[in-house]
Amino acid sequence: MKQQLILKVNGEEHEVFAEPSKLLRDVLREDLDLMGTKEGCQDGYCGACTDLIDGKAVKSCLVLARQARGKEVTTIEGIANNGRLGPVQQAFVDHFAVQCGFCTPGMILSATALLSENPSPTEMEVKRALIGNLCRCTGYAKIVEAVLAAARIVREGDNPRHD
Amino acid sequence: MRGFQYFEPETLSAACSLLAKYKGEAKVIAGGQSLLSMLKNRLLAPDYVVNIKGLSGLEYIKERPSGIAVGALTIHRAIETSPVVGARYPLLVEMEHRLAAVQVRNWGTIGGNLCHADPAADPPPCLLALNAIVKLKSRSGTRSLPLEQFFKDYLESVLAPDELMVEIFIPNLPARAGTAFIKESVRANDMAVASAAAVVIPNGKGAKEVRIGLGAAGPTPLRARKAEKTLVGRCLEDAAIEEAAAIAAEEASPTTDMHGSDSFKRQLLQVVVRNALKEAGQRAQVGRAR
Amino acid sequence: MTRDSSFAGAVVIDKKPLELKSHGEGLNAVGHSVTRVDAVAKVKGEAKFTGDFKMPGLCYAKLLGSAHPHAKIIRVDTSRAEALPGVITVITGSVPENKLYGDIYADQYILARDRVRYVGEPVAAVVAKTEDIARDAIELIDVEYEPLPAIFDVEESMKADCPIVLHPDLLNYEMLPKPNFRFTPCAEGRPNVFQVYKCIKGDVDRAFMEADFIVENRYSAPMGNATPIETMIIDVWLEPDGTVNLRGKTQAMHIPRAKIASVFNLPMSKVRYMAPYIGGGFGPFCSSWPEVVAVLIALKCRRPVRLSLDRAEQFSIAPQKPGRITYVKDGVKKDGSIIAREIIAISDFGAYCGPYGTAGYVRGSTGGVVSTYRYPNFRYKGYGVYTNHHPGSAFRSVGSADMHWGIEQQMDIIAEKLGMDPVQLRMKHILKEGEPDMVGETIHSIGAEECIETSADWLRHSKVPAGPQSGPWKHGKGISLAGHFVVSDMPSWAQVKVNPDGIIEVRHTGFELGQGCDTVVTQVAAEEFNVPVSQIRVVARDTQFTPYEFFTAATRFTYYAANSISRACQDAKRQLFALSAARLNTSPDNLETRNGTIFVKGKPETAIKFGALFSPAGFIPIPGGEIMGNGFFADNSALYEAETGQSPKQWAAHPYLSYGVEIAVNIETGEIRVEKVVGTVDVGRAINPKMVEAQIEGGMAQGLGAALFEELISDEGVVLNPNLVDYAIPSIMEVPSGDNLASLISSPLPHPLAYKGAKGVGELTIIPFAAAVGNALYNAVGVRLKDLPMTREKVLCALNEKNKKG
Ligand SMILES: Cc1cc2nc3c(=O)[nH]c(=O)nc-3n(C[C@H](O)[C@H](O)[C@H](O)COP(=O)(O)OP(=O)(O)OC[C@H]3O[C@@H](n4cnc5c(N)ncnc54)[C@H](O)[C@@H]3O)c2cc1C
Ligand code: FES
Ligand code: FES
Repeated sequence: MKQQLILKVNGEEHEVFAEPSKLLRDVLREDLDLMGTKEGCQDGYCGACTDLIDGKAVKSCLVLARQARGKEVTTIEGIANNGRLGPVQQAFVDHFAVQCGFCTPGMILSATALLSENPSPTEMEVKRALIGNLCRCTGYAKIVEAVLAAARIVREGDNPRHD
Repeated sequence: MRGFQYFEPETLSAACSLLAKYKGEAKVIAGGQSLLSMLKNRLLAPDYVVNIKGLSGLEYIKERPSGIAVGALTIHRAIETSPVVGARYPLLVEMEHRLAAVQVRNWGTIGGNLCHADPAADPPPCLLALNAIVKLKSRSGTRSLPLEQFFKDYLESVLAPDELMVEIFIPNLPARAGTAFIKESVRANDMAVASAAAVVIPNGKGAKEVRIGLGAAGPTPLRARKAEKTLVGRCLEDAAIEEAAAIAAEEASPTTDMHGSDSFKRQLLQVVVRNALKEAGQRAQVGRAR
Repeated sequence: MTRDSSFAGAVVIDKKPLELKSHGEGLNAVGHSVTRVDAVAKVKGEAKFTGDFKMPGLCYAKLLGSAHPHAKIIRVDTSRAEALPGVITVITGSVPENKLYGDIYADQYILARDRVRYVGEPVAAVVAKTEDIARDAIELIDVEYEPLPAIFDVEESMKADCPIVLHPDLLNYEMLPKPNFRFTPCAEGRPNVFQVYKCIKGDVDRAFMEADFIVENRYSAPMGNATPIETMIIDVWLEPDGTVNLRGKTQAMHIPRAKIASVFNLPMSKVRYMAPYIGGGFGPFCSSWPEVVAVLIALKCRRPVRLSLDRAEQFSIAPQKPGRITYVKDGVKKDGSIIAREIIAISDFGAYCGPYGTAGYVRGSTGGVVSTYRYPNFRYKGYGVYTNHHPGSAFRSVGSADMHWGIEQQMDIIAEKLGMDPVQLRMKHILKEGEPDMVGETIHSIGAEECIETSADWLRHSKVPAGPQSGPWKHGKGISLAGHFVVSDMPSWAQVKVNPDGIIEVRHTGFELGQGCDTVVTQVAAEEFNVPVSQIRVVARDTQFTPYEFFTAATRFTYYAANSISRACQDAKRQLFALSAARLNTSPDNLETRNGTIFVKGKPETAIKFGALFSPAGFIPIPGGEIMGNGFFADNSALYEAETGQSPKQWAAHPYLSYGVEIAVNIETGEIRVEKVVGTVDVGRAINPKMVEAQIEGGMAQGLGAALFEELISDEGVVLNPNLVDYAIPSIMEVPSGDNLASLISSPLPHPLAYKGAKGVGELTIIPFAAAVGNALYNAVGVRLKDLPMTREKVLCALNEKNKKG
């Protein structure tokens, strides 16, 4: 039976009524209309559902929504700042790291979490951080390139799109 | 996933009471990284789920005079990045690097990993080789037992339905002990097709003590006791290591599945044991606590 | 060169290709790596996929799959399922609307009736208020089966005396007309063979006798799964007037639309299909399945309904990439010429071919095989065979990758026997511009030589330190080459609307699967109108508003749509010029357009804005209305001869690609690591070079998966690895990146019939990858594997065997 649940998502508190068995992914999509979090499997393997909890990447299909109570959840919708793309997002656009786009939100969140922990990752560190995000379209090379470029931009504090 | 009644006890004893009350019908969820897949695929359908992830006081890495104590709710990532663990048990850091994806390590717990009792999991062979002791608690009391006595069968442990794992204690390693973890998996961080952890405690030129933990080597993780014995007091030369690795592979009982035949897996086990022993032996020689 | 855009008649090309220095030479938008038009929406998570749409009252359908590979259905009892609260309806094969249907042969019931032929075949459907309830209800349906003997070995199944016959009525099935296709059910007296395609040139048997030596091998590739990250999903809802609306994951909405209309006796105009972004295609979404199933369900429950397959169902209910066995036999002269080649390809298309269009793929997979190398004598036989496996679906390259796994290893085997450099051997046999290929068609724009030279060169000179060098790790290099085809016979329409504000709206029905079709479309229109790409708007993928397009598959979209869109642009420009001529005191053919203005050629100061042609209310006064350009393109073949497969016009165009790989092999564990890769592709002209690179890299990764891991493992038809844990597609760690990877595009070599020469690339990039790894494996450790994938166990076994032989 549905129970009240208060979640803080992208800086805002939301009240929803959901079954306790409901996954964080499904509450975000079904109750909060945050459709950027994708579903690609039942195995916890594809990573399309990756979101951040307190800044750390998690698979939101492997977290009960209730377990995220009292924590800060960040989804892809919370990454752009006032409509301006975040550095990882911009780098994905600039480096053609997007194809079908189904893995993209999860990839960007994993990469964002990496860069907040390690602003100067090596190529290998980028790859290790993205093991949990499968992409069937890109062959990953342009994704690696984009994350390394985003890291440079974050370090140098020069987001090329600022106005 | 089938619906269930959900509890979020605030204290350890409240959790234990709930488990005692719904004995057998309740399932504990910690990080849920293993449990939720089982629920989603309907391999399990408990009526009650007790969330312990939010319990305070079970997420810690504490230095004690005789070793370190790790709270059962400690996430993999905390172990991986802990300076204490890095300095004293680099084996565990090495292991965590190869465990799943960072998303899983950020939410999954070490206690949950052990309680899931997957023979192919990575922490068990390492913690077996480190002689870890697990502390289990229920309303009727607390018991400690060597990890080696914890695993019973495929996905089964001696944990009683009303018991919780609360702590993993890892005894000190003698100075100059060398350790290594080697895992063979289809993709970089998949579950092991064969894995081995080795601890080599040197004594002059020979080995005073050798411990070998095996993963994906049968229904439970195990220690390769016979192989260990053959090395005691011996110099860890290639021939001795090869011999021990062959014995370890015989101690294992892997089964044929889609990842390969039992004989192929034995062959892999022999390689990982040999490489783990070599690596640990070398590290022991140079006297790093690795 | 002129091209009559009518259905009739094939076009023979007689033009020398242009010589260009760069892909963007002399062009404004085409040939440049313009930012993808969908990228911003996708990185923000705003791009909508089917599952992101909500609808009031939406119900959820789940399918019950057969538990047996081959059985009679005795009884289906749905009463327990129907009694479950929240269940709306349960549908079985006994409903009167159920019938045999298909895109080529009508050989499968929408829901199984009387008989099931694979484990997972939909037997019943449940509609419920939630997905979970639907799942619960599925478990409550009781089906009584009478098991029949099943057959899984495709070579046994194709025998004339195979005791198990899957479709005793095959000869009586309705065959659905398809241009330039020959039906051959039960060919050669083989009851389980639904299609044979033959191609014969010269006298192969005699040439084998004249050869100095023969090389003959059997290669195999297993059943697999396309594994896009988004799984199958279709929403269907009905309008009060009976219109059936669909929104879903498709690469081919007009195919299911027509099928739905005919199966359910609906006027085609009352079937509307719209598609949002697609989370990866790769082939399996080109057919009428499961749309027909979804519509049956919707018609029965008369509520909005979502039929989706979760990951496990995508592996266990959906059609799969078929397994294929390829025999390659070559007769070779000591001077290094292959004088005869025979290929027999046997495809296991599983239980059904109808709904999945697979009878067409039997010939489809040969498009690159016949158009790359020259053999004076050539014989090809391709069989489409029924078994009790999952039905086959299209998958990137429709089997050509599986065949090239054999062919391109065979080239290395021959080179070694000759003591010849494998690159040299290939170069010697590559067809030349203007030469007839193996099916009698003249080849144009063949960049194969440059591809293989570039790849070989990169591999030779690459100084990047690869991975582990010592101990058990042995290194090897391998190379491969393949051509592919752009399919013919499938028309493309496009529309271009000019808005008063200068925005050019392109209406097309290509599917944005990730390949970047909306960006290609935008670039073409921007090129034609001489405007920045920001002035183009794309309206796409809705049968009610966008024009007819055959599927987005078979490497055809760029070739066809760029042509039809450029024609639509020209049509719109003609209208603009006609309207402006009087105002500018000149004749229409003396006008040009740039940046939303029209001016007298060479006199930009005469420019008037598009808007000036419109009244303030947004219409064009007499005689205008509005400006809507139409464009059509088709490229028709001439029907091949039944016995020889010969015809002067078969394929629209052929792109080429060569891979070079460097691998490390661990001789103790059998592990293969692909350390470095170079892929060089000839696409005629790259409309967007970065997107072409992206296709190489993506196809390479899929090729890597096929080479090393991917295999749907089944036991008596039950899939044992129906999940992403056990069906391993490459993660980021297995695929080379950075300096270890080069995705290269050869010099422009425009194809005379293609828009600005752009041929297409999509499927090609998976094709010769596994063979390059196979060749590198041999180079590294001297063993050759013939059966994909190259698992560790197989590598170890082969090494053990080799050591035994000494
Ligand atoms: C995609 C993916 C890849 C993975 N790859 C690997 C890998 O390579 N190597 C590896 O070792 N593991 C791997 N895992 C498994 C994972 O590491 C662990 O099993 C997981 O972290 C378990 O911890 P948890 O807290 O999530 O446990 P849960 O899933 O919450 O619980 C697991 C089981 O233990 C019980 N339980 C949990 N905590 C306690 C407790 N304190 N006391 C009593 N019972 C308890 C639960 O009831 C349940 O039966 C992978 C998991 C995923 C999803
Ligand atoms: S949906 Fe696939 S990992 Fe969460
Ligand atoms: S872009 Fe399609 S899955 Fe990554």
